[in-house]
Amino acid sequence: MRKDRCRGGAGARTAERGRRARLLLLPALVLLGWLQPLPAAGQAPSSFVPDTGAVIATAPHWAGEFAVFSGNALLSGVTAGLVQKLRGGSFRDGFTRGVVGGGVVYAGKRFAAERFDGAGLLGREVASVGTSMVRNASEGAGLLERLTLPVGIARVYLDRGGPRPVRLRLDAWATAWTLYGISQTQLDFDARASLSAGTPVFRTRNKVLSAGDIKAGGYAKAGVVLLSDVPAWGPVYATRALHHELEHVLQEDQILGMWLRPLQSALLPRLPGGRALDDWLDLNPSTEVLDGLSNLVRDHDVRPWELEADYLAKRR
Amino acid sequence: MSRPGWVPRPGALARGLVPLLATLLGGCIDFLDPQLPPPSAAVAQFFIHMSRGQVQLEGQVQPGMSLAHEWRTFPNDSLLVEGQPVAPLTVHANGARDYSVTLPLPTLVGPVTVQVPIVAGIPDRPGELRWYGVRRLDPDTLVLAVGADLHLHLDTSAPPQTPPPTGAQWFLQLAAGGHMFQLGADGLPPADMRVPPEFIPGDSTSVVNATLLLLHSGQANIAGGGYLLNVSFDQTLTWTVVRPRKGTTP
Repeated sequence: MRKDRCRGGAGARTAERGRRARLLLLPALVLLGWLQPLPAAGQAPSSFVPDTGAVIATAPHWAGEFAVFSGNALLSGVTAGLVQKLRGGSFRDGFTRGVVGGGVVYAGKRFAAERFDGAGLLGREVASVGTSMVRNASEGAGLLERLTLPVGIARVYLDRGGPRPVRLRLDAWATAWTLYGISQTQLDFDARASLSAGTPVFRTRNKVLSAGDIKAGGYAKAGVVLLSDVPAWGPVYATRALHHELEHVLQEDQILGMWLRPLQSALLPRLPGGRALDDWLDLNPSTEVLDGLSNLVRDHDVRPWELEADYLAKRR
Repeated sequence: MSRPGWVPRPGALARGLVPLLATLLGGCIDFLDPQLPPPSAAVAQFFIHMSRGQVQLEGQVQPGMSLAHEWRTFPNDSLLVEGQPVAPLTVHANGARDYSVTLPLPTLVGPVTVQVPIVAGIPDRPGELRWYGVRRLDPDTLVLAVGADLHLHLDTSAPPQTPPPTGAQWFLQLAAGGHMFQLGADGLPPADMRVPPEFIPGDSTSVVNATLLLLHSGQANIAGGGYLLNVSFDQTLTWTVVRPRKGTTP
């Protein structure tokens, strides 16, 4: 990107600026949805209560798998198609290769739902390969030309054709949450689960995590898992809660790889000191993106990402 | 302004940006003591109809909600009726199962046996339900002499039943020529039910239909109240009473 910017004359720079402006359009649209005002007390939502959860619970197994697969394929295809088109390429090429990447993301999520040791780690890496394929499709690069592989709270960026074929970037948000977990006396680091999941896992000691009025069995925060470990809830629930949060970890990797990382690469180097930060850090507000999208879908149980995590964590 | 070639050192990052983020991000999480609501019991509710050597069972088994606020499941959701597995007709979103089945009985009075399925997470289940009906001692058709009392005979004795039936009631209905006479009481019917001739309806009608309806219910519960069984039972016995017209000899 930096090399491109130094090439050509004023016309080329103007065209580049235009492309960059268009590149910002997609995240801006997402942000617009995120900043939608919450309904006031007088604007009570409809009394209609969708029972999607019940439908998911009783739907045939193949239907759930098809829904998760096609959802990932479509999201990835549209993202790659749109971004490549905005960059002056072909929507069709981006969409087609994005669908393939989305399929690999689905496979990674499926692995992470399995109950063997290391399933989370394997699933995270496979899904990240899929997300890399989507990003490559967005940028018109070869399908496996650039790969991003998570290593705990950092990521290895492999670029076969680039000046630096291997680069390690620390995830600033994940590091912050890890330090929070270590410093918080009410949380214990679970080394075995962390190794198996490929990301730090912290557990409470018979305490329920809560944010405001909302109590949770667990949180995934920028890829770091915090779990409410209440023995009375039983081992089945504990395992399911861990896998539910692991699916959110993969979703956050997906958001980072498809949307946030390209946005960071486009914006951060423009700021003072930003280029150095961009070289070494991933700013990863993927959790905040999901929180923002939650404002658009107020009912927790029908949010697509929650349905996906619920389904995959329950159905084996 | 960025300095060319300046690279932030990991140590500087750890000392600066990261603790700031940790403080800002983690500040909104609280740690609460778990307030565990009591789990709901599994409930089996059945209606059993016994008639003419057959038993018809309809009902539902609800697995209830566990302490973790999840609907319980069944390792095997077949009901055992007369020793035969009966699969559910409907599975609801809360895990409840609907059952409906009609089966022949080994004898006219049963026993009716029902074994509810095991529910995952509940260590025990109510014991097998074993109930008997009342035996009619008369033939299908009775001939009643003019001016005589009507006697209907029953054998109400039964082997030990589990769970013990409670709230028994009976109703006898005599119907003839569009007229009807009823009597009933709580408890079991007498072994000899006597109806004086003035209460037998339809003077000019030669056939009187007598129907006896017996009702009772029962409840079983495992220790701790984790699995509740509620059963309602009814049995229908019928007689055809032939009454010679006045002036003829039976």
